[in-house]
Formats: sequence, structure tokens, C-alpha cells
Amino acid sequence: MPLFDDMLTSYRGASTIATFLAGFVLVSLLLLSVLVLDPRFNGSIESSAGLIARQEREIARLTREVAMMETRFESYQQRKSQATTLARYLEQVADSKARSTDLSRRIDDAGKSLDRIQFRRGRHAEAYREHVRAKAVGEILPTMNLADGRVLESPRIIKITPAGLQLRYSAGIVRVPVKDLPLSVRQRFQFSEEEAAEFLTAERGQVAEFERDIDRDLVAINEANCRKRIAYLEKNIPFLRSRIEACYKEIEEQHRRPLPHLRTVIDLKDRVALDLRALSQAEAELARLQDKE
Amino acid sequence: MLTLGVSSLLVSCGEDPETKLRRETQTRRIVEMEARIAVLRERMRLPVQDNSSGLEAARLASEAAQEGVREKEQELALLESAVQRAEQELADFERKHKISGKAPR
Repeated sequence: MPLFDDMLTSYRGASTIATFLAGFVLVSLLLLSVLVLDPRFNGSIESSAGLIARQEREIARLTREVAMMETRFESYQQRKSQATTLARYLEQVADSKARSTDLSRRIDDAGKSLDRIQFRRGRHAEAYREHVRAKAVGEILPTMNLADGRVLESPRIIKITPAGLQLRYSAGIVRVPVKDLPLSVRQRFQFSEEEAAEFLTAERGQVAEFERDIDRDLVAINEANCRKRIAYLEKNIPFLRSRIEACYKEIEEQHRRPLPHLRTVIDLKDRVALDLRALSQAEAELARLQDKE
Repeated sequence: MLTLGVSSLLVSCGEDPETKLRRETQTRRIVEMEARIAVLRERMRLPVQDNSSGLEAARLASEAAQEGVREKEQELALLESAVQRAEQELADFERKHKISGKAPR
């Protein structure tokens, strides 16, 4: 090729080649200097030992960082685990609340069922008791040995109350309390101590009420009698006084006569004495009644 | 990494094989550690709240709620057995005390 021939043989060609070579060297030096000087490439071209030392430093730094990160990760895991545990606890609380509500409802239902059963039992027991007691009136029972030692031969039932039986037997009529009845009779008529006690309490209350009514009536009658008696005494006392005065005048009149009628005087004096006694009694009674009133 | 790579490339010419092996081992180790760090960072990407203070209270609340449930279960069991017993007793009572016929008035 004429161009290469010219370059290789002429001074111009030699200078051109030299220029290219010089440029290549310069570019290479520039690139190397970039590698050497550029901080992004760590500022210098290192030797193998330097590189290893730097790697070791890097490894040490990374080891610390890894350790720190693992510690942080451990803490992170712990927090995560805590969050999971917390969520589980909260879920358990929610589940427990729901279960508790359900259980409360079922407990209420069971309580109501129990109440209903007890009510039914009570009603049936009451109906049975009334039935068996009403049916037994007039029945003649076999000879009965009471707890207090009495023996009733062929007693007939007159009346049955919660407190016991009213029976007619050969010696008359007797009321036998529950506690004296034989066990079989108590079981048959469904007697119970509680029922008997309630009945007796109610009966005692009725008796007490009756007695209180009588007492009230008696008090009212007494008060009325007292008032009537006071009225009578208040009316009678002036009458007695006036009669005594009249008697005294009559006695004086007899004494003024030349010949007084002695029989009349004696009668008048007797009358005065009687009236004075009656007057003092009436005044005392009046004072007492007025005090009482 | 680029720095280390270029430096390794530049310094590897005519190098002792033992040194080269050590350097490569260390490079691998660095890469592994950086990967480990990246993995850990990725795993910790989602923030998690610190619940340590509420944990004990939640535990106690949970235990109390479970204890309450246990008590109610026991109560229910007792009540249910009482209901069954009462039903049985009522049936026995009704069977034993039958109201037959009409009572005279």
C-alpha cells in the first residue's frame, strides 16, 4: 500500500507514527493517573498486600455491621414475636368474651329451667297434697299409735290442716299435730314441718288478731260505760245534794214546830245519812272515773 | 465493589497464588456479608411497634378472661347437672304421686 510504504519510509510517516505512539502513551498515562488519583477508585493503585489489608478492614467493618444488624434483627424478631403474642392475647380475650357471653346466656337458661322444674314440682306437690287430703276426709284409719303414747282406735278423719289431723275416735274428737303423727301418715298426707309451722304461725296470727279485736271492743265498751256512768253521776250528785238540803230544811221545819213528829225526824236523818254516804261515794267514783278518762 | 474489582484486576498480574486465593476468599466473604446485611435490611423493611409495655397487661387480661370462662363453665356444668337431677326427681315424684280421680269437695 503506497500510504504505508510512504509512512514507513518517509520522515513524515515516522513522525506520524511517533505522534500516535506518544498520544497512546499519554492516554494510557492519563487513564492510569485516573485510576491512581480518582478517589472513587480508592485514591491509589494498591499493592496486593494493601488490597488484602483493606479487605480485612472492610471485613472487620462488615463484621461489626453484620453483628449490629443481627442484634437489631434479633430485637426486631423479638418485637415481631411480641406483636404476634399480643395479637394472640387480644384474640384470646375476644374469644373468651364471646365464650363468656355465650356461657352467661346458657347459665341463665339453665337457671330458668331449674326454676321452671322446681315450680312444676311445687305445683304438682301442692295439687297432690290438696287432692289426697280432700279425698281422705271421712276415711277411717287403722289404729294409730301417736308419738306422745296415745293410741287411737279406728279414728275417722274429720278435717286435715297443714298443722295436723282432726280425728273422731271412741273417746271423742282430737286434733293431732304433725309431730305426733306416725311417719306413714305424715308421708301419705305430705305433711312438712315448714308447712305446719307456717300454718300455725298464720293461725296464731289470726287468733292474736281476733283477741286484739275483742280487746278493742272491750275497751270501747268500757269507755262507753265509763262515759255513761260519769254522765249518770254528774246528774245524780246535784240531785243528792238537793235532796239532802231538802231533808235538812224539813228537819229544821219539824224542830220549829211545838210538837215535832219524831218518827219523821228520825226518818229524815236516816235519809240524810244514807244520801251523804251515797254522795261521798258518787263524788269519789266520779273523781276516779274522770282521772281514768 | 467496582474499586475492589478493578484493583484486584490490576494487582492480579503476576501475583502469588496463595495471596490471590486469600484475596478472592476475602472478596467472597465481603460479598456474603453485604448480602447478609441486605437480606437483614429487607427482612426488617416493615416497621414493628414495640408492644412490650402492653404485653403483660394483655397477658393478664387474657388469663383473667380465661379464668372467668373456666369459672362459668364449672358453674354451667353444676347447673346442668342440677337441672338433670331435678328433671329426674320431678319425673320420679310425678310417677310416685299420681293425681287420680276427682277429689270430693
